[in-house]
This record gives sequence, C-alpha cells and structure tokens, in this order.
Amino acid sequence: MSESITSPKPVDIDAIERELAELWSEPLGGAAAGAEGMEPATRACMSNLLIWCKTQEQARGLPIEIGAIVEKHPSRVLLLVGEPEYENAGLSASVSAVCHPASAGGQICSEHVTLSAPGSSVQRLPSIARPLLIGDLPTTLWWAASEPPPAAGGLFDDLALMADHVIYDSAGWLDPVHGVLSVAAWEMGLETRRVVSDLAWRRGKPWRRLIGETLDPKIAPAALESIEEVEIEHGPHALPQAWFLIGWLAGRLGWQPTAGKVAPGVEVTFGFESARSPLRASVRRLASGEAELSRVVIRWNGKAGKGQATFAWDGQDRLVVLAGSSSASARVLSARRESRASLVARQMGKLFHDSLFRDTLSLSRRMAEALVR
Amino acid sequence: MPTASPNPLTVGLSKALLPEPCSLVIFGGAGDLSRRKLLPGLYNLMRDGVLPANFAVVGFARTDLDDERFRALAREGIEKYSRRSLDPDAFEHFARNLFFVRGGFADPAAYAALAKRLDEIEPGCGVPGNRIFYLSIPPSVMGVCVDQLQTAGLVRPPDAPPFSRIIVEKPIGHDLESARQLNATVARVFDENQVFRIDHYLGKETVQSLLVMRFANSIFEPLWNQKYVDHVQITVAEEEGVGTRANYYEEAGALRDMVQNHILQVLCLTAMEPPWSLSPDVVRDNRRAVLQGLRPIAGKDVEQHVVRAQYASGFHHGVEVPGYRNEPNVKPDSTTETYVALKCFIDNWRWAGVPFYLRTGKRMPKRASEIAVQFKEVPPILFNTDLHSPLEPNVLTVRIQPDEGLSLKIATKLPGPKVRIYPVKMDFRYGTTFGEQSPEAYERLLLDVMAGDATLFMRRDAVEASWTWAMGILEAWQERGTRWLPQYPAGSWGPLEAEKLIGADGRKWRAL
Repeated sequence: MSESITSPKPVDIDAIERELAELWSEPLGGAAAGAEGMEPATRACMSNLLIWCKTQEQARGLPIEIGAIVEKHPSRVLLLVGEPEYENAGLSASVSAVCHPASAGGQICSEHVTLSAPGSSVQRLPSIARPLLIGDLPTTLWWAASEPPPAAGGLFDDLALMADHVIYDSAGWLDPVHGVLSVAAWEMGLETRRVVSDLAWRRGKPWRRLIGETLDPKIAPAALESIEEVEIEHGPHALPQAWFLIGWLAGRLGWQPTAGKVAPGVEVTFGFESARSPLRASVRRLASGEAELSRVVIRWNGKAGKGQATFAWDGQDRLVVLAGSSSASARVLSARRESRASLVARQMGKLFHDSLFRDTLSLSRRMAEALVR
Repeated sequence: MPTASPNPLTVGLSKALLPEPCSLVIFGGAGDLSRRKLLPGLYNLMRDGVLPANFAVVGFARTDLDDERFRALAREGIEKYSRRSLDPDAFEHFARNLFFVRGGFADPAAYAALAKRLDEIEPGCGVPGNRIFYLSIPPSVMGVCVDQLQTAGLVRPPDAPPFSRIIVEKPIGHDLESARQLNATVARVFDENQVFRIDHYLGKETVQSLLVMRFANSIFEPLWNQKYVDHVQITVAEEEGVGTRANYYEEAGALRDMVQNHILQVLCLTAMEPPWSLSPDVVRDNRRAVLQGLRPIAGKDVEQHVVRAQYASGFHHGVEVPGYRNEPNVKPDSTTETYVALKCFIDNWRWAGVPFYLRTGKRMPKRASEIAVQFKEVPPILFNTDLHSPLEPNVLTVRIQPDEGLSLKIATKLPGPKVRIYPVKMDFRYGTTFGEQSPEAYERLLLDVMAGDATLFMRRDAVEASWTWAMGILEAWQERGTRWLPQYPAGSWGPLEAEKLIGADGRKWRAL
C-alpha cells in the first residue's frame, strides 16, 4: 500500500461541500494528484461511511484505519468525534483526500471529512452530517466507540436512522452481559430494514468454518449430536466472540440454555440441555494475549467412543485443529487475523441481513438472561 | 447406498463458500497449465482462506518427479505466475499437502499405485474419500485415462458420498464426431452430474457479472431484444502469435480454438432467456437453447457470412514479427486460419433479425475481449435530422479483459449556448471502483467443482450443439479447399474482407 493523504484543511461547517468540490478542481487535489510525478486521480465512491468516536483519544488512530478501509471500499468518510473535555469550544471541520494506486493505473481517491463537536454540541452532528451524505449510495454507520451503541441513546438513534448498515464491535465492552442484552433488544426491535454487523461475530468466521468442517458427519460421524463439553480460552476483551461461538453452536445444534454463572474477570460457564443430555460450555479469560479466541476444545462421546478436537491459532494466519491428543494429525486452515479496518471494509460490502448472526444474537440474549437471572 | 446426514453447522450457507474436503488429482500435473494456473490458483485459494483445511493435491504424469520435486515445481509456478506473492511460511503448509505419482496414462500399474497412494494420503489429510480428477492432458489420452480410472476402482458412483468428479479441459474434441466419442467415453464411467467441462472464459469476473447486469438490473432487460438492439459484436483479440502452440494450433485454427467454445459461450450468456432459477441445469438449459436457435451457416452461406484469414509479417509494438507461415513448426503452406469474423443470427422471438458479429484473431494490435450491444438509432427527427451525420447510437459495452467493466455511450449536449451534441462514455471499471482484486478464472472454477456447482461448466449437450453449428463452417471450408487465405499484417485489426463483411450491412467493427 502506498497511500497518500492530503493535509486536513480546516473549513467552515457551511463550506464543507464546496471545499470537497474544490479538492477535485484543477489541479486535481493538490497533494492528492497534482503533485509532480503523481498519477492522475479518480474520485471513487461506493458508499458513505459515517464513523462515530466518543473521544479524540478513540479517533487518534483512525486516519490510518480509514486509509485501509477506503483502499478496499472507496467511500465518502464522515468522521464524527465527540470532545467532552472542551465544553466551550465550537464545532470544527476539516476535509482531506485519501488516495491509493489503482490496479488499472492512476489513483483512486476518497473524501474524508472530520467533524469535531465539544460537549453537548454532539447532538448537532447528525443534522450536519445528513446533507453531506451522497444520495443514492448506501450509508454505513461504524460505531467506533467502545460502548454498546444503544447506550448512546438519541445520538445513536439519529445516526442509525441515516444508515442502511450499522457496524459495531462488541470486543472491549466493559459489561458484555448487558451489552449483549441491549444490542439484542435494539436489533430485535428494528422495524425498518437495516443491516447490523458485529465485528466480534465476523472474527469468529474462520473458527466456525474449521469447526464445521472438522465435525462434519462425513469426517467425524456422530460427533455433533454427542458433544458433552465446550471449552474456550480467550485473550482480554474477547468474551463476546467466545459467547457468540457458543451461541452459534447452540443455535445450530438445538441446545437450550438452562443456566449461567460468572466468576468475574475469570470464567463464565453456561449449562445447556440438548436432545441427548445436558452439556457444559465454559469461557475462560487469559491474563494476557490478543483480544481474540485463543483455544477451543470440543469433547464428545459418540457411538464410536470419546473424541476431542482442539482448535487454536498457529502463528498469525493459520488456524489448526488437532484431533484427539496427537499433533501428527494437525490440519490447517489459512485464516488471517484481520485488522479492525479490514473487517469493517469487508462488512461494508455485505448489504444483506445475516440471519445466522441474528439467530445467534437471539440465542446469546437468552444466554445473557440465564446469567442475570 | 450410505448417505451421511447433513451438517447442521453448514446448512443454509452458500454452496460457493463450502468447498468440500477432497483430493485433487491433476493428470498432466507437471505440465504448463498445472504450473501456470492450477497450482498457483490453489495456493491463492489457500491464502484467501477458502480452500478446505482437509485437502490434498496429487500430481500424476510421466515426468520423472517425486513429491519434493513436484513441490519445487509448484513453488516455481507460484513465484512466477501467482497473483499473490509467495510467502515461504504459507507455502510450506501448502506444500505439505502436495504429492506426486509418476506413471503413464495407459499403465494400469500406475493407476493402482495412484489408488494406493490416495488411500495412504487421505486419512492424514482429513479427506473423507472425495476425489476430483483433473484431465489436463491431450484429448488423445483422455479416453484411456478415464477407462483406467474405472479399472483401478478410483471412480465412485454418483449421488452418494464420497464423491468422484472429473474435470475435462478443452479442447473437447476436434470436431463433432470426436467430441461425441470423448463424451461417450467419459459417460461410460462418469455420470453427467460428475463431469465438469471447463472453459476458463466462463470463470472470468466480467463474464459472470453479465448475468448480474442483465438480471439484477431492471433497465437492461426490457431493451434486450430485436425491438431495440441493432446488432451485437463480440470480439476476442489476442496480441500473441501462435508462439509455442503451433503443433496444436495447426490442427485447430481460430474457429476451433476460440469460436466454437469461448465465443459461443459468451454469446449464450449474452443472448439467453432469463432462467427461472440459478440452479446449474436451469442456467445451462437456457444457454443450450441459444445454441439450438443459432441459424446454421453451411454450404455457400459460409462464403457470405464467414471470413477467415492468416496473419502476415508486420510490426507489433514497433517490433517486426513473422507471419504465421514463418512461425516455428508451422507448415510453410499452412491454410490454418488465425482470424475469423462471422455474422450469425439466433432464430428466436427475442433476437429475430438481429445480427451477431463475432471476431477473433491472433497478432491483433492489443489484447481485448468485449461484448458490445449497439442499440437502434433514434428517429430522424429533432436532434437527428442531418442524414449526412446521424447521431451516434447508444452502445453498451461489457469489457471482459483487460480493464474489466461496463461502459455506456450516450449522446449529450456540449456546454454552451448552441445545441451541439457529442457522444460521451459513462464508464465503470472494476479496477478503479473496487479496491479488491478479482480471483483468477481457474480459482473460481476449481472452487465451484469442489462445491459441486456446475453452472459455469459446459454440459455434454451444449458442447455437441456448439460443434454441430461449427461443423457447417468447417465442412464448407474443407469441401472448398484452399491453398491461400486472405492475409492481414501482424499488428492490424484484421483483413479487408472482414471490413467488407460488416460494411455490407452498413455497419463497422468497433475500434477497441
């Protein structure tokens, strides 16, 4: 990636659209394309991307992530940043262009607008963002704050109303139990057509794929209907991902949640009833490591006897599965641990409801209810 | 017959995302296609995380290789031809699942060794006995290979797991008779739903997007008929000369090499009726219906409707290049055509009277493949009253390669106080719209075979229907005999005769 970003140009709120047009006037975009030796630039836009950050601190690393997102999914980006610590300052705005070399030659450039709002003026942001959205294009709201979106109340509702697609990341929520409950309640209550994506669910995709393939009845006959125990270990902040993996298994295999217990900061256990027998799922938090699942062990007791499969990362871009206790039978699925930006870019291309996620969220809500009962 | 219960963890997911664990046996595993396309394609699929974890590749050929040297060959192919660069660590894992069996295609002992090797490899690779046999070998040995597979007990019955599938690489026959023979040979051993006849053109992103463009947009389909379309041009232009393929090409020529398969398949997708579902056989039924509707070109009609030619020496990108007859391994008096242009009609309600102009050639000025649908002119009133300079018609162009994308030519008003009309092109390019690279055609098609989706593969009846149509032209050429073909200079867009063919209808070939 050889990205180029023009310096953000401070502009009046009322002049944003005019300044964006100015970016593309001759010579095109100054540093975006007019600089000597630069390739000609093409403005590309597949979507509007609204991003919400609650603080400047959260927004600090975002320009790099935005560059990575628009490289894969060129968009007009509106970054909305709250500034609770500067109550007296006014709203401020800046515009810039983010450009990447195109495979067909030249450069593809996306527009980037940053709107910063101190204190209570954040409530004005939706009305400023609304006219800046390019009509007839899908709009994605990426909730880059570390709280569950419904917790933001009216601001979230206003921004979500503008969006066809809402993306958030439950990894890192301080209270995942109530976070899952609130998001599930919001998602289930949606009346209008809106796509909802949780990056923590998306991170579980390679795990789901490898588990599905490994326990396929053609490969491990009768394993799926005789699972007795699931054990998951994860790094800090990845509890929701572990939760969703169990919710997915429970939903697909017809397990009913019966009990839940939390040992704060250490372990969460769930009890399920399956058609065959009760079973147990435990989620253990490791003291350190990446915010990811670290290891999943599934044990079953079928007609052919007891079996076990252990799934774990092997390096940065491989998931391995060990059947039984022998490392000789290790099999590998190539699966990159994708950055948050890459996950957002991929999700932006998916403008359809993920019914599997919806089902899993519904079951995860019942698991959460078992914990707070 | 034993059947495994469905996997609840994958029920409801797209089949395209679910390639099944399997072994892929590449007959001709040491050959050019394997090295350039198949092994790099499999590596890319692995890197993209879409190849199953439970997977094995077995190369089979007479070449003196073993597992290690086959892995080295794969590595070299990936380094040179893969769209993703070679990552040593990733390759090491990929290579663990590569194996090689040396043997002749007619040698029963070699097939017994192959069966034994697969039985040894598969448990360790987690493959439940699913096998795909890729015939990347000359048509002359395909029959014996298929028979030997059966004799060695390597082919399982259809419709029960584990599966056996076979991929047949083109050319599928040299003419109708040989295509029928080959199909019959394959059919002795494999059920039609186990057979995947590959035409890599159908795996190209734009070719697939043609169906999306037609049937996922409401504005095109109402115009897609004889009422609004003036004519259609399909062009497949190659820059290269015959290169190292002279031995094959001398026997084939452009009609067999390009028109009978690639171009007719593209024509089918362009002209087919909307399928009532996207299931493979429904789509393939509709493609075949186009071939059945193609008006035969035979006898004297061939002279009127078809032009064939050979490239003469000329300049290609400023470099002097030899004519076809002076290429290595080409007979000095060869009458093999390197260029074909033809006009055909589809005799159905939708396309009655609409000419389809097809052209392909080697040593053209540039590599370019496209489908261009030219709409009828606006009436000669209002802005189109000047008979000497009529308005340019609307043209919808689907570019297959390079610069994959779509463009629509429309008339617009130039800025200013006068009404001056100028044609402009609204252009959509995959490369400048989407940030992500398209997979190679072979990658998509290999994945489809693993998932058991035959939509983009040619069915037996379609292959035979396309040969039936092509035979009218081939037989007329044979009957007529010739010692000389029209020539076109290398680096040009074809012979004068081709201009006359389309010019006689008051039209012209598109400048690409």
